[in-house]
Amino acid sequence: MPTPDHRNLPRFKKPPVVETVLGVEFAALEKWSIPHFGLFWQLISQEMPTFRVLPPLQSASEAKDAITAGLPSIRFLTSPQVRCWFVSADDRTLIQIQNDRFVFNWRKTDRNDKYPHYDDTIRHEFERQWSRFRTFVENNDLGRIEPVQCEVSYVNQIPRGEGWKTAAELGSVFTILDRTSLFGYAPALEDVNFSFQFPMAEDRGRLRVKSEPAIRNLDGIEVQQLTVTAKGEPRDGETSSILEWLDFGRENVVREFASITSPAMHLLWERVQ
Amino acid sequence: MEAACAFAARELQAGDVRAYSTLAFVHPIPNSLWPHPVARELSTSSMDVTFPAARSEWFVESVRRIAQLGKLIANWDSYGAEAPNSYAQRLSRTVLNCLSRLDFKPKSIDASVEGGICIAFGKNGHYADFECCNSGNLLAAISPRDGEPQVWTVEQTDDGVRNAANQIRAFLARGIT
Repeated sequence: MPTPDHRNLPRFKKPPVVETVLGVEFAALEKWSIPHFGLFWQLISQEMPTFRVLPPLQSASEAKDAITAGLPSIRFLTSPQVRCWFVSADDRTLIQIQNDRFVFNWRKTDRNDKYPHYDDTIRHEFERQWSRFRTFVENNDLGRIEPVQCEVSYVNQIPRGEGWKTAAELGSVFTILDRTSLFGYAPALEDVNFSFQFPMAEDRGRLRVKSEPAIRNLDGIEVQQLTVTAKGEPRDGETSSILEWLDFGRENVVREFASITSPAMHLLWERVQ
Repeated sequence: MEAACAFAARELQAGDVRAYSTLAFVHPIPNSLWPHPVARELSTSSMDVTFPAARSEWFVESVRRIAQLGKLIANWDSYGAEAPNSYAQRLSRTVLNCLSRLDFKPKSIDASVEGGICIAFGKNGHYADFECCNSGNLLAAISPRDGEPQVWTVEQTDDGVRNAANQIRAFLARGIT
């Protein structure tokens, strides 16, 4: 399926995105068990030579009436569950697998890394890896993959010193923090930590925006982290429908990002359209 | 059972709950999941960041210091000491996050020759520290100017660290245990 025409979407030469996440949640594969992680790893170990075992991701439906997403929940499990990361040699891409999840991440590992862009690389790479996983499940008679939800997340980091030096100056990074228009006066911000969410068009899922101060553990750099996540249900389980939903989710994420960040920051990130 | 449920309830409030169950048996997964500020444990993002409980200069400097210590290599002291591993780094960031909520600034943060990271305090000749070990253990120690040191294992929860920090604070203020 050709990549849709996204020429009208905002595009930046130097966007602050440090991670892109494309994921599919599906009905749990009952036959999937611990050995299958190893079997799948055999297939991809040339590309993804290292692994890490983590606790499983929880399910959080973004269906129209589901208001519990993002809230804590208790999950009763009848068998131990794990999630496995398979990480590429250059550390820039990883695949996360569990019995009801496939997630593909691209991440920036060096400040000089150029964002590979969704249309140019990331979408294609997701499709390639997803197809491989799907084939593995079929070939090993592990059941039918029935997707229930897709996810697109963009994690952006805006380091202190790049457009803002004090928390007060974050008011000029985010359009929604224009305090003069909000209150008619503008005392200095001391800290910025916000989140909001809304349903996307045609009830195709929900968009969540979260911004909070963070410190990168690798280098101790202070950043304001902005995460924009779209989640929703694809029309059906076909790969083409999953990709279509991911395109839709990504479009929402990108438009929201451009909408809540200021023109001054767009200049810094070299917006080209 | 009651204690287990209380623990689970506390984890619920922290937004970080997962309960494994066989029939009516509910218990949280062990301390390896603490600290909860580590986002990647529970989200699809793999970003390795710390979300500070409070924005303070010394906390940012402390995380930077841990990043520096994380670059040490084995035998950094030329006496065969282990370099601080990822467990010790993660543990020390979380202890520091708890300390920042208490506005309890350490005097120094250094690699430990025992293997791990040492978050130290000192006042009037008295010494105390948190020892974030490569093994994943968290210890606290107090050492009076003229007395025997005491070391104990700290429970790896917010409450556990807060209690130990308060003990250390009281010790440094009074110089007695």
